[in-house]
Amino acid sequence: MSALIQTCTKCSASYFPARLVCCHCHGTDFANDKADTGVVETTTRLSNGFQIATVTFPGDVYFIARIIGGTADAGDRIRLTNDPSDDTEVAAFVPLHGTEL
Amino acid sequence: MQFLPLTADNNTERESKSVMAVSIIGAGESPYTRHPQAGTTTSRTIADAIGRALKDAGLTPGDVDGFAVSSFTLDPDHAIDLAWKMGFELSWLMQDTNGGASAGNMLQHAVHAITAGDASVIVVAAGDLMDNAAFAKLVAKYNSATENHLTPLPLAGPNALFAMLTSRQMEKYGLVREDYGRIAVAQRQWAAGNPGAVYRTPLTLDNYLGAPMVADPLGRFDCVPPVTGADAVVVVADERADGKRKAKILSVTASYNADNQVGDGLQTGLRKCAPLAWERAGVSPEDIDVISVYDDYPAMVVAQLMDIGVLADGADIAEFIDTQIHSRALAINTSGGQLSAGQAGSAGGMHGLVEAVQQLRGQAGDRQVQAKTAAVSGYGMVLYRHGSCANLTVLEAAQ
Repeated sequence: MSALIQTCTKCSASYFPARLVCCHCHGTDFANDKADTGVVETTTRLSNGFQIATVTFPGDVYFIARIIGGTADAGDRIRLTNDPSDDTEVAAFVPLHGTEL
Repeated sequence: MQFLPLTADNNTERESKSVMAVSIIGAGESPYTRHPQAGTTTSRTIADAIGRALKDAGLTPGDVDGFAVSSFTLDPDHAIDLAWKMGFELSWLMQDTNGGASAGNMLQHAVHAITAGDASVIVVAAGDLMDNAAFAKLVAKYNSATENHLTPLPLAGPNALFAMLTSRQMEKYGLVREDYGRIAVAQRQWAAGNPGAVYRTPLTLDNYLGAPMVADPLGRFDCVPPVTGADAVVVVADERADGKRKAKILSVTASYNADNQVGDGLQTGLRKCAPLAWERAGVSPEDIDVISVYDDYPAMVVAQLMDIGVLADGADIAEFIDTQIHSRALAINTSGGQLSAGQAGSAGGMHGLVEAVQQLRGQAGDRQVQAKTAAVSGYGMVLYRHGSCANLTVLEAAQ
């Protein structure tokens, strides 16, 4: 399943992680929207072997993700998922948002 | 992302020149340790640093009328519990939560409290019991964004985030690992003169490059060692200084949430608040004799030196690192910084302040430099991708 972002219902600004107030229009109503794919901006390899990436999405959204089901390079368009077991093909795992507010 | 600097023009209510008559007359640090003895507590550790700072100032707990403290591990106690246990009777009290930026934040408030007459002798302290369990708990639950979106990756702390930031900096400015290594090597050389640093044995560039990778391009010596420890300073109205050697506070400015966590993170809030700090202090970056820059990672040393104007935009960064930092021509992080002295939790920012005060007051022992002015940066609180809090303090030696 896709990653989830927050979209301001008034001005359509996008956020991840979720905010309380839109910093563009100061609106307070948000919808949850799916983010299906993003672009890998930077990666790093941890000593435990995990590959962590910064993945960008239109609207100044930056996800910190773990690459699952393979490896990724900067510039790759990559599938986004909030399910860490969804690894039959390469994807960027982005833990679900929406629980912190 | 480009930040519009704070200036006197867009802060018309503020004075453009320092009018403050507030100084630091004492500083102290509890012995830093990687492995705290059984029975060590956060409260006792902070109290140790406070006791040293008060002794250095020639004051007693009975002289104190203001107290500010920052700690990640004081829970369930708060500032008032510590004040009670220290025997402070106070007219001003503050607790801060801003991690690596806590020292500058507390100092900014303390200066105003003294200027306003709310207190005249303020102890500003920070410290943590930071053993393995405390560190793991801290980084897993640093804030809700971390708890919900980073810890489940799983990620145990900010190394991966700053690894990616470092990669972006390397790409943008053409830097290589050796450049960062020269910063770590220089700070270890400074640490040799600091009996309080947890790592003092010389570090070679080969040691740095050959160390195990933590998160590429970061190796072991790019990452601060967590330690248990605390730092404190005594801030007073000048009329209470009684002819003691002082570190006069020329300015403290701050910037919080400057970029909403958007962009590459290569500019910190210092980019925004530093110009006003220099303007109020009436000194320029090139006038500064001692610099304590918040060194959670070498890349952040580079970023902050650029943001505060010590390393000019457009300059050859690799050459600056080699000729100014590696050579120790510039006195940067003369205690060894957190990279060699250790990061005592929320005292990370206070450590650099204590070092700057000791340098200005001629108490820096084997690492003493000729210093009339000092600058101390704070940086911290990774909200999701990079730090969100920054501040700059400018100090001057005075009698």
